[in-house]
Amino acid sequence: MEPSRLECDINDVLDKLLNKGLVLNADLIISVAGVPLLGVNLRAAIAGMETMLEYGMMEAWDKSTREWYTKEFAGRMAAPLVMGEEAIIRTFGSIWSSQGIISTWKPGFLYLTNNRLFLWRKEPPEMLFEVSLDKIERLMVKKENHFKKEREALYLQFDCGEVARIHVSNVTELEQAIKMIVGKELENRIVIPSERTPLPKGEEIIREEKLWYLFPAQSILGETWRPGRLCLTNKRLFWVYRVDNQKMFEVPLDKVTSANVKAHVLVPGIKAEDKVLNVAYDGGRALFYGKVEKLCEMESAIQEIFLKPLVPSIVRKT
Amino acid sequence: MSTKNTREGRYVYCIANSGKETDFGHMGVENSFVVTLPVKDMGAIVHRCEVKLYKTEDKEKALEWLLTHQYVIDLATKEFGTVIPLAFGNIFAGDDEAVKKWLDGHYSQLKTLLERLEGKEQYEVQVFLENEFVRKTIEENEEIQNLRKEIENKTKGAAYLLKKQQEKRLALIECHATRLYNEVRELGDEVRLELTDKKASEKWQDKLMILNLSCLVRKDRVQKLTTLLEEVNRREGFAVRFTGPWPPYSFVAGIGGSKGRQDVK
Repeated sequence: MEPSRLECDINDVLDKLLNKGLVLNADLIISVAGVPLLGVNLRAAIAGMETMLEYGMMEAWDKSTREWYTKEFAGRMAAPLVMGEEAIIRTFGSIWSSQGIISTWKPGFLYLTNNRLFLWRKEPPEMLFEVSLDKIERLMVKKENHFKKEREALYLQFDCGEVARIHVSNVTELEQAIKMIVGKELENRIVIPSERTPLPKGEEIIREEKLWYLFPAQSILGETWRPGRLCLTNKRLFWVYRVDNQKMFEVPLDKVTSANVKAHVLVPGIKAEDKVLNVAYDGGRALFYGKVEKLCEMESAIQEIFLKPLVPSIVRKT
Repeated sequence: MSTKNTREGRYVYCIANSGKETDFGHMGVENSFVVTLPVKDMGAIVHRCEVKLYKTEDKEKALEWLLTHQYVIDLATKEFGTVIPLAFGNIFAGDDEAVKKWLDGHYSQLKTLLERLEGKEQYEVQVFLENEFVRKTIEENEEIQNLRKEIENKTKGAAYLLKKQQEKRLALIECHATRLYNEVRELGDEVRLELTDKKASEKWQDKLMILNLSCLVRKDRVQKLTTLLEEVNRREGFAVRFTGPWPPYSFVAGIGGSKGRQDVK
């Protein structure tokens, strides 16, 4: 057996030329906000998707991320394991993150060790999620729709009640492994917390449909259809914008004067013969659009309330 | 960045242990003309360019650049013996004089590093265990066999068995890896542990990497290392991947590199 370079593959070359080797002082080489741009782009070009995930969207980093990355640069290759900790499963994974108006899957490396489960993004380095295994109380695998394809997600509930939603390519393997390491019975039923604002006490949803709402004109924008959910409760009718889960239309039921589905000629963006749900209330009207069946169901649900008021305070105004 | 696009720069391949002033012709990245910029008994191997990032989406092109970078370093190694290889993409903002000034300013640091690398080459050793061998060894373990008899159909016990199997697996790997590491360390001047999660090519798919080493080895000891690894390769269940000689990429990062950069601030 003679050592040779003939057998080396792309990974060998990449590893050495991009991760190793001398790097000059940053003030002498081209850099953006102090981070030397050494072949990161090449790494992505050659290694493809997997590496793109690993390194994140390099091009899109903002200044502060880069600065932070510079500080962390020296330790960037270190796996975030503590002494005596062994990685049992290491795989690409993502966690559902919902903060403020941004809800997204955050990708990284999911590590299952003998005492922790965590999601680590190498570059810029960040611990996206971390939990000690003894904090896990329940776990559940659930089939979900992801861009029209069905896939599985793993839900974990911790002793503090918090729920995490994780996706990896082999959910079952991860589930089995967690069960195995935790070594105690874990309940497999988790009540998935709604990402919606909880309703006040005494208020119940009667009907909810995914419908478009004709959003009133604002500054230079004319009226626009926006996707979201129209919710009818025993107290009010409101519509929530899908993008940021914000209520953009809300009217107490006692202010609603009528609701009916009909073709509405002067509505932009849809055909003249398309039907819309027209909700009239004190001070205006709101238009909703969607599948005719949904519109009709919502219409009859609203009308039903008028016929049989659930809350005595509703005063019908006709 | 756009304002800097036309600034003069020098792309640096490596720093050689020789003050000879020469050129390598149009051998560089994108056919650039490669020259040496000597300072005392030391020189930077560079090509003249603009301060502009080498950037492409094209995989073939990216690979070509990387291999060219590697090729120039190989040429310099052949010509000058000992070199400090740079990572791909180091572009110095400035002219020849700026590079020389930098070399001069870091002379003693670079010289020490060059002396450390003198007469040595980098080799990479990856040791694999065949998955089947690992499985068999664990199954043959007495404790595991007893456990298996005991638990039969109890689910809790099954989890415990799996846990034990996992422990044995890690213990087996650790035991072999530690022993081999110590054996290799005796032959290499410097041996560095690399991550074992590196992706291996298809040939190694059914195997488990238990050790991944970068070794800086004196040329006269390479034969000894080869003999040792041949012996390991013959052991049942073992396989060794042995590549090199490489420029000493893995043994230069600490000087003038990331640590140096922090000092400069």
